[in-house]
Amino acid sequence: MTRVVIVDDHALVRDGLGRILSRYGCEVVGQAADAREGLALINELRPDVVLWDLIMPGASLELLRSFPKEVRALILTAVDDPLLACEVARAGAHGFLPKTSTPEQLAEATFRVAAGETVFPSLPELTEREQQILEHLASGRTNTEMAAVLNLSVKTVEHHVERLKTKLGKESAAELRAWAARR
Amino acid sequence: MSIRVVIADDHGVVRGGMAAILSASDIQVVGEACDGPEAWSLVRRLQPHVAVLDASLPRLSGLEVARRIARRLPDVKTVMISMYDDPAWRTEAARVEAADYLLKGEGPEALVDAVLAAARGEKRLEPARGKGLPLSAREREVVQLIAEGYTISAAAVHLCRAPATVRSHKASAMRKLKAHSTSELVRAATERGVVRMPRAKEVPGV
Repeated sequence: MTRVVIVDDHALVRDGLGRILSRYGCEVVGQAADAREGLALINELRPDVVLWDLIMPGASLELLRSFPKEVRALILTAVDDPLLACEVARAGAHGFLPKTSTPEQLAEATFRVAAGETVFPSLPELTEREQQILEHLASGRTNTEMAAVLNLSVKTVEHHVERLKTKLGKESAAELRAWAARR
Repeated sequence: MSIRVVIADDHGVVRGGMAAILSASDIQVVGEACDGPEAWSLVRRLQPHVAVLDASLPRLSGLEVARRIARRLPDVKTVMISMYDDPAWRTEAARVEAADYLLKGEGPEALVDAVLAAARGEKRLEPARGKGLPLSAREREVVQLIAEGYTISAAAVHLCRAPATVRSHKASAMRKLKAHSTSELVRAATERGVVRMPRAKEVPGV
């Protein structure tokens, strides 16, 4: 049986996740409400998988590196952001699942991570230029303004914006801008 | 006869979890919705005893769904679920006649208890006094869509209003929040808690 520890600061969410996983045949061996307690618990219980929320007291990307090696980490988060997923992967976690997923997807991801697979959304690689453009978009610059600041033609800027839309799965430039501003 | 409930939360795993909690207490979950418009149409169609609504649903917030329910389907009670322990949101919840405002940090028993009490017709929220959110409900609707990346014309279609109306709500929201551009508007609205969206920036180390 897959042994799971759940770490999330919301009791309602924690309890619900536990019920979902039990229904799919996992054994929920422990639950914690913050990062410190969670880390102590996984060190003590050594579960197969820890479901770990990223936005909670004491949590940070850095902390993921200090997890015991044999415990596999599935990061469950309210922030559905492919770039965040990249950083989570780099920090050594084994999976990244947005909370918008269905209970079935949660169970599947848990089993796959337990079986030694990694579960990440397709991760976009952004070029340095695209990163730059993204930052300018976030601060509300227009294509023309960016072209002037970066010493590029407006056409080239438009091209980068198009690429960013595709890579980040945004349907319109407005959606991309809104997303960049929120980051 | 068992109590019939509709649950709306954009987080599928949270929604599924709440459904599991309620079902274990013999409360019948008759429908689940992942955004505001879907929640409103399900509630209208299924007329449950209680609608459990996440306060910050995408496209139409839980507050706006509750406001419609209070006006058009007064027999349906609403329980607002929120991540935010924020007096302004609590005040708005009272204003839209929610029976209760429950934090996600509270345990499963609190959810069951809130739903049962709402179904009995109990109101646990103090009547709205004091300051709510800095924008009107109409303005919030528009600002939320803009923050999600809708253009004026897309927001107009979505809200079944004229683009000019949407534009004027946006303009008055900008005046109230002293914003000079769309991105300033989105930032001010997010910072002042008018619209709520979790951001990658909240993760330390990003």
